Amino acid sequence: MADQNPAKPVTADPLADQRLNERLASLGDEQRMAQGSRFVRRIRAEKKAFLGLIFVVFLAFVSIAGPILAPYGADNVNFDQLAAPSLHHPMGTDSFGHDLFSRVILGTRVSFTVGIVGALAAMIIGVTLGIVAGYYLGWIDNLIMRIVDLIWAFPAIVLAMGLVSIYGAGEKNVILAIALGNMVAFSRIVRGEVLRLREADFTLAAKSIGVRDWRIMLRHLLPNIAAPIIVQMTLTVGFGILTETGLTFLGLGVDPTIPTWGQALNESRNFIHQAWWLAVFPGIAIGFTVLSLNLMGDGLRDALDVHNVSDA
Amino acid sequence: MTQYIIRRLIYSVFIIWGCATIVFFLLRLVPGDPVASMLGHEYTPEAAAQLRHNLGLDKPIYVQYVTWMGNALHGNLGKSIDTQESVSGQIKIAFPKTLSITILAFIFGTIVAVPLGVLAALRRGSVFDFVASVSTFVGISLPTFWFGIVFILIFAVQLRWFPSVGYVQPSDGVMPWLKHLFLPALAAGVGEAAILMRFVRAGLLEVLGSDYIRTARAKGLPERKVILTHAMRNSMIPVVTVAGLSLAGLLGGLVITETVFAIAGIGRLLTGAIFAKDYPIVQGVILVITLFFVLANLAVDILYTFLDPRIRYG
Repeated sequence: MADQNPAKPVTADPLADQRLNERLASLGDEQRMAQGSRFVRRIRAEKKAFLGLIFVVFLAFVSIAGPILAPYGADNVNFDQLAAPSLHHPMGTDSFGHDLFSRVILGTRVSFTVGIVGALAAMIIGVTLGIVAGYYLGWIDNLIMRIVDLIWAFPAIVLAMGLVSIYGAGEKNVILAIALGNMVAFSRIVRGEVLRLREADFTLAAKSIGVRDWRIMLRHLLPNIAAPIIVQMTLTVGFGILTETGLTFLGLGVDPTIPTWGQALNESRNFIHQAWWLAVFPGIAIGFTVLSLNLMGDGLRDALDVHNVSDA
Repeated sequence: MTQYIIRRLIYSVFIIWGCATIVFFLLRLVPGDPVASMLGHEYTPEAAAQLRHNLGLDKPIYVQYVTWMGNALHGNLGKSIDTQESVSGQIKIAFPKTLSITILAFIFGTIVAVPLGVLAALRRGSVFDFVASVSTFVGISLPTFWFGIVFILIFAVQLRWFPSVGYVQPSDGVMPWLKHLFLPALAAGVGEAAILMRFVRAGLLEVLGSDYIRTARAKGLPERKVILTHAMRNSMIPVVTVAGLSLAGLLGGLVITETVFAIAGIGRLLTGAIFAKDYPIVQGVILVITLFFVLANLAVDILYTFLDPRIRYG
């Protein structure tokens, strides 16, 4: 008769059993490590993701070490005004006599912070709503998804401007605008994934042994839908940075006394006939940053084999 | 299909009603006293009472809501606090400018994106495909308003081919009108072209790998015919959807670009109103843009059912 009790020792020797268990446990580790290294291999094989990742890490470094890297302080106005790019000022100077190179370096921090915090907030709100809607279905799903549809109906920048018109300009409100405008994409993606997984064996098994709903959502469903969330998160940071620079350009974003790319571009309009560098360099900084994030997001999408994340 | 279209229409009415409700509450969400915020330095208790009365804010909220909705349905979006002119009148003046740039940008984007996307798909893996792919990445990563500034720098300041800012009415001559629209439309069209091109390439590649294309080739059809009559027709269906949606997206993007070109379209109307705390205008413009967005979505969905008879909606 076949052995019905899986807990029964396989061999008569308890030491051998222990060794077997250890071996089995280490096999699990090896498998996890193999999966981990496969992930790294895939990222490395996916040149876009790898290149994007290197750029993003570089930009993160610049945003943290900005004050050390910048040759001059943000408020140093002891230079000729509107001086063309030279060895001393690789990106020229602005109408106040600031070194533009230093201001572009220092601007990285604002855009990066606002983009990342906004995208994180969008992710937390959106994923929570999507997972709850997809898991419970019924009226909860209906209510959440109708609200999501309503927010979806507003173009992102118009929604952001509406919010700024209510609460005023400033970093916090720009973050709020990015969060609200982008959370809907997360909700839709996550809900779709949860619908696919809510009848999966592991979910049903967890339910049948009485695991609480929030635990199923957090410990069982969430890790299985992490890939599309990561991809969307990467792309959302890019959208967030574009929203921030757009609003700041209009004068509706971050405090104009802080050096930002959007503010530099806004100023460039007044000197477009005299100083091309004011328009060109901050724009390249924005483009390079968003391009890096898009490359990383797109590459991750291929590497992680995610198909349902919206395109830019 | 008729049932689907009817359901979709009813749903759009719900969305429009929901958006209008959100826009109605926009003014009421302003922290503190919106009237004090609008009046700023000119605040006196009498002026505040008068403005409150003019905006109907002294009535119970449900009366305000019903009155506002009723008026909005009749196209009456209230009066500007600054100029005392009707909001719908101001939108009527501004909207055609924005719409003409949007349409021109859409044409530019499509003219560039479709042939380049097709070529990139047909020469997959070639240098051309690589350059096209890099260009689309750059196109979606840079803000539209930056393209605007750079195009002014190149085509208006350096080459002097086009005027850098402003707008003239088509009644003052079609050529001057087009000349003023050219740069803003080109700037807005770059992002549109980049997105569309990716879809054209991806769509065509997917179709080219399918069985019926292999059959068409196997029976000896010339490659030109395989691509043009067999592959393109099917691959263009999702492209039409993306193109339709990007028409609405372009309108949203122009909100900022108009400021670069000093064109008094709805984007500048909105920006100016936000600075002036002229809430009736903010409400009106947001409502009109959103209405356009929802209707464009609806039109695309309905068009889709006609374009692709294989699709059946349950």
